[in-house]
Amino acid sequence: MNRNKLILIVLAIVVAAVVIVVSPALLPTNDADESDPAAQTAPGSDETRNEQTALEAARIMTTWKPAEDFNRTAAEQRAKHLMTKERAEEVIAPERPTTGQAWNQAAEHNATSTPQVVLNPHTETEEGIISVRATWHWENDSEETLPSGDEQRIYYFSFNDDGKIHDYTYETVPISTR
Amino acid sequence: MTQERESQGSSKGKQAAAAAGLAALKATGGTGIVIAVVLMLVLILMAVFLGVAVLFMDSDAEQAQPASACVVADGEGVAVPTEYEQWVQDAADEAGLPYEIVAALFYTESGWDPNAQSAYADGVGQFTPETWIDYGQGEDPFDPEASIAATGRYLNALQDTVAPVATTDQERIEFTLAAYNAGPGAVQQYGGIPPYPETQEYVPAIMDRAQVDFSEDCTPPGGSEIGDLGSGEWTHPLPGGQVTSGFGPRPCPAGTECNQYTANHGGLDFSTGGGTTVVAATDLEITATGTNQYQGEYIIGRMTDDPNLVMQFHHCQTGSTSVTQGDTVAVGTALCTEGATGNASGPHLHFQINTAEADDSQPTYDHATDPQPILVEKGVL
Repeated sequence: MNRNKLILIVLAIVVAAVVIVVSPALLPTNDADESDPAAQTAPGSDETRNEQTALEAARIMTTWKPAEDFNRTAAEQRAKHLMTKERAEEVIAPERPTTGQAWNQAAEHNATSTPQVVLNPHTETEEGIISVRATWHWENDSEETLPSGDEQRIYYFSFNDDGKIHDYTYETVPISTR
Repeated sequence: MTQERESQGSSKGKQAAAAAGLAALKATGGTGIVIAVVLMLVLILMAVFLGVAVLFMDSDAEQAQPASACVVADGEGVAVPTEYEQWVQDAADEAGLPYEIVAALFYTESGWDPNAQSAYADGVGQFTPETWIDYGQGEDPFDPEASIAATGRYLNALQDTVAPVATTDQERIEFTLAAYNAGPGAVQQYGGIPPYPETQEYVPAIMDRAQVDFSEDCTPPGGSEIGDLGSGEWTHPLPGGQVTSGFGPRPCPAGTECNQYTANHGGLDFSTGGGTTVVAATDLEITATGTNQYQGEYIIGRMTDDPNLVMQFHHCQTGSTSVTQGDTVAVGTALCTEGATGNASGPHLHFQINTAEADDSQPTYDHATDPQPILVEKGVL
């Protein structure tokens, strides 16, 4: 092969490679991905101790097994070891069981919720309070995935100097903009 | 003479370039032409692919636009089944509660499924066996008419227990729902909604669903302290923003005094991730702008029409405020850019509504009210 042919072939390969690499970047991205606040807050390796505890607590509190749990507070009671003694004593379950279509369906299929938790920085917090955003899906041992609905939980945790949860609240809000 | 020489020179240059091109093509032979053609085809295919992708992305974006909220439920599965309507009305009358509250409760508990069965509750009313003994009158809990009627009796009894601690119609409704979820003893013990997170979440969930899915005119059940919101147009203060924090209680920081400022969130937080234009939610007169360590760069305005609510917009990007005190702005007017100034832990808009008697000259939590039902009533959420 002469030199000119070789140069042309190399040039063609380089140009094709550039096109392949650049073209995905030119595609409009899903606005929801770019604008989803949670997509920008995945936990990293430099989380503080309290952040790690907050994420762990949120994960435990969002793991439900409706076939066994009387109501959602059962999951909060499983996180008591992360709380101060005083706060743990205040984790009291309502008298009514949790119900609803998603919960009942999960119970029928013996499903467990599998949470995804990330730190939520898109709020204002008093010093030391950490917010975590949790979403979840339902799955069982047969690897069935049930509809998860349009809900997310936003947790707020405060800590004492020993890294124990001093207090917490949460709220459930829709995922999508209504 | 000079121009002729230049022209001749240019022409000779073009001839030389053309000759060089031809020589190059001849040198490479057919291979070069093939490579060039293939390259052009690849480029054309990529352009077509990008163009098609853009078309699909645009259509996807259009389809993702949220449907308008607060339409009286007529969707499949949400609306009260026709055969249940009179039973639900009778139960609401028995309970002394708004129809939409009772409807929202049934939909939340069972989705109108008369055969709904959880691990611990049965029927469209989701009665536990113990409560059914007291209120079921020996009927079948899976009989929807019996279950709905029993719910009316049960709610009536619960109201009697909470009446002494309720001071408004809205409290009467909310405390009855709290008693339904947590137990009447808990409401009496705490003089209101008990501090159980699950109950604190349950009550507004029913109230919200009642307003959005089952009310005739999108007004909050039990009325609102604000009254008529007027006929003016409203819009989302942060277009495209997701709710990242609701109005209501927050944990008390360790070692601090818990009060309405430290243990409550007085507004709604919306976020797009930062950088989006914050706009006037309705026609406003700008009453204050400024900066402080908590609210960051903020804007305060008062509705130009009744009920003259005060609105606050916090955490704007530094220097992004585009209005000044005294301006009158129409709904949708740009106010500032979503930022993270003040005590924000990340970019977002803290949107707050205070009732008319609030001070509009500085940020305050005094007379703050939950923006969500207001925005729902005006069709924004």
